[in-house]
Amino acid sequence: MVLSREIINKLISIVGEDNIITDDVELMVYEADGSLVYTAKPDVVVFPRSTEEVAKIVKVAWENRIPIVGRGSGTSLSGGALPIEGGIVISLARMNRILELDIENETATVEAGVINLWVSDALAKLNYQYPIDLGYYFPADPGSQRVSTIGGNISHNAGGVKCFKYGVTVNNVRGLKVVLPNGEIRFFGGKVIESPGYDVIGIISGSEGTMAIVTEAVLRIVSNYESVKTILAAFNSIEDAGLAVSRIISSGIRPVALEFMDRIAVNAIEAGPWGGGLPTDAEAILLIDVEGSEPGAVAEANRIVDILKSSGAYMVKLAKDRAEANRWWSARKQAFGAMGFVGPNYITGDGTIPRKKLPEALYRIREIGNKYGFRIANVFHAGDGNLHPLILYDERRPGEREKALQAEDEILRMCVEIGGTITGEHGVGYHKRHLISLLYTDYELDVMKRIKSVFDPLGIMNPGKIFPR
Amino acid sequence: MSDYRKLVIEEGLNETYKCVHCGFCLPTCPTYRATWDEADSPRGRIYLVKALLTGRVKPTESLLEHLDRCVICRRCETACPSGVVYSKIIEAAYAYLGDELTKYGYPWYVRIGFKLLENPIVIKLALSASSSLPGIPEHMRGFARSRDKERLDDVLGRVFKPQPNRPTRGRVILFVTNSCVAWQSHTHLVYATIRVLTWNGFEVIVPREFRCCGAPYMHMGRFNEAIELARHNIDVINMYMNRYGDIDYIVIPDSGGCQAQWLEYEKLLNTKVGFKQKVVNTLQLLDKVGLFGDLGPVKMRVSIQHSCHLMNVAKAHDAVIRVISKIPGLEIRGLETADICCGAGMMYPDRHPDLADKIIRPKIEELRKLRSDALILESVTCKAHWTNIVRNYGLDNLRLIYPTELLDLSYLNGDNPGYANYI
Amino acid sequence: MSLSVIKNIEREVGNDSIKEPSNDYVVDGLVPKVVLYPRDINELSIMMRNINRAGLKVIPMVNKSKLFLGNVPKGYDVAIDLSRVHRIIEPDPEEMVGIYGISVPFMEVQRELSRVDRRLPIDPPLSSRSSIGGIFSCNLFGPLAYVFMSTRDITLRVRAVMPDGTVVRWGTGMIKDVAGYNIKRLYIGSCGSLGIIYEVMTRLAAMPEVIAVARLDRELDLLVTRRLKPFGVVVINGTMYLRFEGVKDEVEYRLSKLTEVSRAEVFYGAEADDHWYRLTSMDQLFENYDLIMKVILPQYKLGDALSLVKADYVVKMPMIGEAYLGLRGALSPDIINAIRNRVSELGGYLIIVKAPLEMKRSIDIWGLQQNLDIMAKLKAVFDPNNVMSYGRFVGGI
Repeated sequence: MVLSREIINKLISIVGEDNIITDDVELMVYEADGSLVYTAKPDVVVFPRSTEEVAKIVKVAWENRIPIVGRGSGTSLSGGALPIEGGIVISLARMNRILELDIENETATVEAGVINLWVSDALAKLNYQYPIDLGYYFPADPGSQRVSTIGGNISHNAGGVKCFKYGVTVNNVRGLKVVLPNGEIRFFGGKVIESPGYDVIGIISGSEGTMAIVTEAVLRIVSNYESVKTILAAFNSIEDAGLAVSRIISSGIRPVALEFMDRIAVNAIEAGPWGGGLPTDAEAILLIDVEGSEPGAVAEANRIVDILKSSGAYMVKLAKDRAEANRWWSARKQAFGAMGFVGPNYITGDGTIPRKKLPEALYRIREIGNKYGFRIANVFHAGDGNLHPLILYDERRPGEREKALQAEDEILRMCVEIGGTITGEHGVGYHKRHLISLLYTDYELDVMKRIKSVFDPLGIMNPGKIFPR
Repeated sequence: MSDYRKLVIEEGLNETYKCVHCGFCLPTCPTYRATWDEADSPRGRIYLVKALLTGRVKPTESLLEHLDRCVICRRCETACPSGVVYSKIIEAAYAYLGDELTKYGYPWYVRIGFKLLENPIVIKLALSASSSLPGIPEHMRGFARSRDKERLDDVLGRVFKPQPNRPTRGRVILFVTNSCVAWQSHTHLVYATIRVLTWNGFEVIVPREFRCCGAPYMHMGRFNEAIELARHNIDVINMYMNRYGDIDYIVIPDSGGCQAQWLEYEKLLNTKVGFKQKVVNTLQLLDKVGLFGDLGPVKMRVSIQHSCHLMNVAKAHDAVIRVISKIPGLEIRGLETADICCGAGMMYPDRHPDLADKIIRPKIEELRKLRSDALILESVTCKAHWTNIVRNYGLDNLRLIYPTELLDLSYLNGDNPGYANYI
Repeated sequence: MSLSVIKNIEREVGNDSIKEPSNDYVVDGLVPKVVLYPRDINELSIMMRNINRAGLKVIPMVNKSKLFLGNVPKGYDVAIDLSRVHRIIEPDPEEMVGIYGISVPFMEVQRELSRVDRRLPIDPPLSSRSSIGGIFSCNLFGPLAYVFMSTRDITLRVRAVMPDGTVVRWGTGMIKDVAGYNIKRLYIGSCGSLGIIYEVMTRLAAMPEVIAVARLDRELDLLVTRRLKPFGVVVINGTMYLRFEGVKDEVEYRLSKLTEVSRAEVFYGAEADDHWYRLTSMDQLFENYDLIMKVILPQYKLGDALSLVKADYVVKMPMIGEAYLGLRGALSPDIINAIRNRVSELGGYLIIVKAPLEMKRSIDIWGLQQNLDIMAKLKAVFDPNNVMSYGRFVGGI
């Protein structure tokens, strides 16, 4: 669609000349997000600086039935930030203030454009504010936390490596300020663990911008433990690694994080600048964090080391200090991007499977890879069953991208077949909307659509996402 | 089009395909942090250059503007999980657009000025006149304002033996030149470097023949000049190698910019010159071989602003911190954004005063909060820039100091007989 | 109410699935005209389809232990007794998940789970007499939520019968699943107003190596308490109980830190766990008091809120910022409103959990003022005919 000069002028009168993009070349930059598989160019990008400005912009869109797509850092891996039907992209990037860190009530209040890691960084500066504190941090930690914004995290209900213990984003949101598509500003929840009524926070979180624009959030923060221990284990067989995971969790220990990487993934990471000294000859490696008091964490770590050894790990290492642990973790957190070294392009698959089906899933992923002629690396949040097959391809070879997408499709269908789901944390977005009917009946999808209509009766919020055409 | 230009364009385009659009570079980019506009981010610029080089877009005014706004700090390269060498991409844009981009970004007098500023006498004149003349770029004034009283000419062409009673640990060539405005003004650093190195057992050769490292030309896409300067400086090295037989290190006093350019020489000339590993920062060298002498107390609260090229290209910033951390009495606090460019490079504050202001503001606020006595800077360009900043933002009590000068101060305060009067 | 509806239902379900109402089914003084007693999901679905068509007003229940919770119904034709509709307990100890029918008593689930060394990591009020259905439909939880999160948070999948009788499933049961809207979260805590949950799947926790409950004769300051890193804390009329879990070394360390700040009597293992569930079930409170209020606050403000009310019985959960207050006799609507306003200023909510009927008639027990329009529209998506628990939820929806 093409927006009239009149509408552009209205938007300018709201945000000012400096906070709007209408130039064709500049708009081009906003046609892609982190997925890069598809592109869609907005008609205009606006940069509001307050909730009130967002409300006024949205009102213009509402009155003129113009599609609205929210955008933070544009890191969506499902095409979530793409304006499929054009219209207005609302960038929350300039709304990036941390409004309040409330240690007493264990919350942080932030604007939607705040980068996830900033919350913990800001808390780290406050740490030991009270002499008895251990310091606080924000536990929802997606791999993209250095760049992705809280608004985006909430919209996609992002996961992370710590969710086995601390839950996903929605479990760490206490309050939300949103702008409804008709321009109304609403607040839900508070600094409280629950509030009366339906869980509107829960339904807006993960709705991928199809209901409202989140402008502010009250987040749960949690306190550190005295000690964190990190364990690295290498296995010659994927089955053994899978078994070890089950046995660790069965033992009653609650690891903060439990990550699995296969050989291709480890080799790609170690080939890049972020190598962390991970063993490149292993079929699978596990990276595990436990926390507690010093004696408690040591005891848990030792227990895990024993389990790992008796489950067939040929190498088990306890990080000798935080520096070594951080090297391992930063290697893991760069895993997706490191695929650029071996890809050069890749599709980040994202499905969840029952944990015990991991060996079967990996076997079938390898078969799919062979069928299409792709190498596929696997990174797996083993604690919660969230699997990321990374399909490596080269976009300069004609037809490869399409083939890679087909391979991804097949992998996701397989995830559903073995009892899992098509997305654990990246969202349905544009890419996977044809797969949602594998999980829900038409009746159920219709209920979802009617819930959307409660918020967005005109259908202007991030159209073309989640639901099949 | 020259072969080098073609090669740069080809390599740059290849590099754009390595970008997977993850966005990890965004918050590391000083200009993105100033505007929060993705066209001012590395990922955005890569996307634009790719579109440009594949013919999808024409070099419109807005395209030139966003490319020109890049400070070329290269911080994004260290954040990139896919290992994209962003500088190759921005260089390709300069190579592809040629004058079109430089004419857009640099006013005519700067371009003329560059030519003139290779002449040592003109530099000297300019340094003494620039605080009074109108129309002189702020960057130049920065150098003039921070000019030290030591004379560079007095050390050029000399060889400094290790100080008495010191074991000889090697022979180094010091890169300084009077054909560069920086080295003519920040002479105290040069003197401090010589003292520190000789006290640590190094013989220091200070050739007169070096010329500008070539970095400014490189970043403007004037590759021919950069190549010429690289060749010249390598010839100088070879000449001294022949004369002395063995040179252990080529030491660049705290100037991340020059050091990074030296590290590009092999690529620029497309040959192996065989001394890339020998190009080091003073403190990087001392971190490697260990410190001699008595470190005296320096009671100061200091903050650090890393030099982008020292950090992102030479990757020597950790070594520098390790050495100065040994100085007793020194309290190092901040900057939180030490790893984010301050916007000094390539006459940036002259070309983009508004953006430069946005980039610097959070740093100013933090310095005010910390009440630091001094700010450590690791490159000459940074110091020229900060000289203006402390003046413009009223940080009058903030001392600007190079890491080597800090170490020099510590030696001066320590029990090191004969140290002070060596030169 | 038209007899034909019942006739229709009768034709399709078993003989004993329709009962005469007894006193057990009275809600806020209202007696239903009929009690439906489905034997399985199929029957439940048939019943709902017919009821919805006729627009009858239904209140679902299992153990009937919390019938007092909710506004006075705006209509009550049918009680649906769900106590036999779905009784499965299927733990998957390896995946750390479990599936339970809503008819099963909570304690029975815990017993079954303990056989495979697992547990549902929640400790809601009235756990001693509640069914899974009651706890999940009301999102009830206790002090352990500080560590294990709320009942809603641990729920992975909900199977339900929609008001129109359609059987639906929300969520796939994976710990991480962002496909489609998170409707299961709407159901947990909807208090039977969106349809009938008949099965839930949740995360489980393993039985820890050591459980210890420490009893203190005084209450520690919140910041000091947090620093001790307990798994849950409950203070009953001034006596504080802290629960610790983990490997032996961990629990011993925590207890040693506790003894640095206070004297404490410590219970271990099964004895400690039993004790804990007796405390958090709050049976005495619910049995002996006419008026029970629940306050939910930002944790540090809980003390301020409690000073507003002179309660006869106080169960305080300082780590999660909640308390249940028992009073003998009623309070006037004016007093309730005054307290509510103060609580609201402190950033919290006050819910009347149980109250004498006269008092209930004159107030909204939930006290939610904002976003009632959205709540009503959400309800209408599921239950356009207002058949489910009509009038009992927020804003009288």
